[in-house]
Amino acid sequence: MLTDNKPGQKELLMGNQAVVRGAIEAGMQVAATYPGTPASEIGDTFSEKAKTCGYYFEYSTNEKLAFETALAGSWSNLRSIVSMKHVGLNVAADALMSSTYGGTIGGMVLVIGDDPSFFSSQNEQDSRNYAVFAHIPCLEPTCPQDTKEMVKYAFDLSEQFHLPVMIRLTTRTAHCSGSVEFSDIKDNTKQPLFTRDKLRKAALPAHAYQLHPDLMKRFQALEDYIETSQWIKMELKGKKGIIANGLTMNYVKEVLKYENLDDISLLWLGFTNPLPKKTIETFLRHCDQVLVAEELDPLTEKTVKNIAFDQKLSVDIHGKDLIPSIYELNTSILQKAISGFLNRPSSVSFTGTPIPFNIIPPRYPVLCPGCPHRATFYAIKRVFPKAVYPSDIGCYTLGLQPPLNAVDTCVCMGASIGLGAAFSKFLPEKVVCTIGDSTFFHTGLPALANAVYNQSKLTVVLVDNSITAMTGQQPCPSCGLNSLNEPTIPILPEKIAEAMGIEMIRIVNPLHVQDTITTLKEVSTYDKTSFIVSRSPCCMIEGKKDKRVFIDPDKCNGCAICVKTFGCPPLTWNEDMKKTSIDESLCNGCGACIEICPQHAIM
Amino acid sequence: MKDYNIILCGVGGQGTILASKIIAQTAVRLGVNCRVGETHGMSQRGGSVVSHVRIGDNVLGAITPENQGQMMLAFEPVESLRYMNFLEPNGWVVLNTHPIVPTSVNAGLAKYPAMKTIDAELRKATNRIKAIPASEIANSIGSIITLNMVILGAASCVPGYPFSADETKKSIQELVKPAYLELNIKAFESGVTAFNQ
Repeated sequence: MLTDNKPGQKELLMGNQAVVRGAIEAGMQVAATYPGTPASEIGDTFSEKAKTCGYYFEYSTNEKLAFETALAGSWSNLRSIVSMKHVGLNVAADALMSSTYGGTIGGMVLVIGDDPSFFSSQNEQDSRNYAVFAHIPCLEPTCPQDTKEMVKYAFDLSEQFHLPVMIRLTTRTAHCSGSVEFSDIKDNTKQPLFTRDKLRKAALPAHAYQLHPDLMKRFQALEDYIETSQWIKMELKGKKGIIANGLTMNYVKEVLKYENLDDISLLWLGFTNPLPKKTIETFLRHCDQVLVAEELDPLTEKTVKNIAFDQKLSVDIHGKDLIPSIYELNTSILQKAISGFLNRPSSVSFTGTPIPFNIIPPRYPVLCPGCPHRATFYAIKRVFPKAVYPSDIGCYTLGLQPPLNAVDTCVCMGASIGLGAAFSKFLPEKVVCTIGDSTFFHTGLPALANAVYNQSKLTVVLVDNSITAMTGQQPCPSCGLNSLNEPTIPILPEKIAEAMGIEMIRIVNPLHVQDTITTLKEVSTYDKTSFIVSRSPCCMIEGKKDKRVFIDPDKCNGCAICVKTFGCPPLTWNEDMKKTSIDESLCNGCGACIEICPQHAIM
Repeated sequence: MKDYNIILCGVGGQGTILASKIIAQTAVRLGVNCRVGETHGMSQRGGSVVSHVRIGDNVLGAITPENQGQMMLAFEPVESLRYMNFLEPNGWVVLNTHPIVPTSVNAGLAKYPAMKTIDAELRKATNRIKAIPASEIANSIGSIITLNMVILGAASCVPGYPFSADETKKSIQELVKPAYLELNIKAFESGVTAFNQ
């Protein structure tokens, strides 16, 4: 068990679970998050273990609020942790950038899940840039064991330098499982204590002005301190050396092993902000040729080159000339880079049998069978076939796939209403945007106020499935369950819309397709901001319904409207029969397709 | 221990993640170094999914380099092709013969290849293919949810697979809810039988 106080016990843990174990071992008392892949399981695990372990946990409504919750924990002299995906840090950045001046009190750890190669994200920003930007320490693990140890270390470091400490994970460390050895669990029953200190806690211009030199002093002290850190490992061997950060060293070492190269000097940087300048200088003085291996941006490479320039070293430094600065790295990319760097051919082939892409049908992720979002999009397309469709971040972004084609834009959380309101002011087309309930509470609220205030003509369709579905069904304010899945009062989006002064508010059940179409038609001629709540619970919570849905082959005339406009996965087109049938093992029994068939063949 | 890399591929929702975990749990219990690499999120339902279980002293990264996989567990036929570049020459494939037709095919935008085409393409990478009707076996036992256990049962029979059937069953016991244990063990045994037929 993740919470066992049994030092020496070994368990199979995912990187995200190792974060939680590390925090529990460190006596953490406050944890907050907003779910986002690849960091979601951190919050899930915190939620699951909160009662057993006795710390405070919340799903905040966005990442900025999660950061502020953790900062409040720290300022109450408690150890606190906040986790989010990389783009969440853009939302939390406002709080982060100013929190460093006054600094933290109880240790505060910020866990970020970066997503190189876009497994589940809209960009692949390198969050180390924020660590540099905010002058905070950044650590990058190689495996779940490191992750756990780094989290513990980060709490101590935060308390020593009064800075939030970033642990930067990527999909490959967050979702990598391996054996983790437990250490003992520290007490987490410290009493909270707030100390009034306006200079450090109230960032007025005059206060921040005084504190900036203090921040720089702390950061300078940190730079000296990390030279001897356990998270920096140097092995001096031959004159050719490789510097690699975090998990990139895994790929480097695998290549060296496969290729039987044992004379390469290595410098591993588990600490990636600040960088250990003296250690790097020693490494550069030892080597005559160095390769800097890092995923995404050349942050380490630039520092290494600066050091060589400042110290007038004549070492030959390579990096992004041999290693791509986009997408995640892997062993075979490193093999090519190292072989270019050493100017020798590879001895092991990492080229497999070519994939016959021409015969493999694409298998895009799709809305689940029975997902109410599909029915909402279907109705929108029937009533507004030529509208502009801004959408948002969530399962419903998949409404962009054929055959629905009902999503035109997706930028960031809340942007559906932001863009939609503006489009409605200057485009001739009707603008109909879709946003989920969790996203609405995240950043949709100020956007809706803006839409009403600036007199938009936008139709907002709130696809309310009463859950944060995409990231694994976490509770959110509309669902009536709190962060520990206990009952609480749900916040109804329609009441918010009403309070904002929207006059056209309608609530529909999207699985009643014809009723939804009728309601949307009513809205189609309205020229102020309108708000439709399309409410039906996520089919993953509801589970399979008892209803058996099937197609009468005698009534089906093969018009294929169901597969070509609705496209629920169980609807299977039979090319020989020229008719549709339903794969009952996939069907959820929602019955929405019954109303779609013009021949009434689905029943 | 010599490195042994396993590629598990299929469609989101088929249970590849639990299957990966059961293999890795066995390694951890026996004190063998291992890494599991997987992706979650967007492809949770209905998308193409792959996970890697890497076992052995030299393993560090979560993802198998291309051409270095000793075994592939393909939960869906066409998905075996999408990841066949990871297989070493003549690596083992346990192939579930039951297709899941993607919506792109239903919408008329693509074609699902014939089984003999899939087989012929896969044979460019390996001749060690054990095709079993794993979905049908799971359904006949009582639930498609046990598909992953049927495939694990067959995997445990592959020559060179690093763990015994008994050790794998112990991990199933550790990770599956007691109420479903009997059903899952039955599915595992059926996978063993199917491999040996």
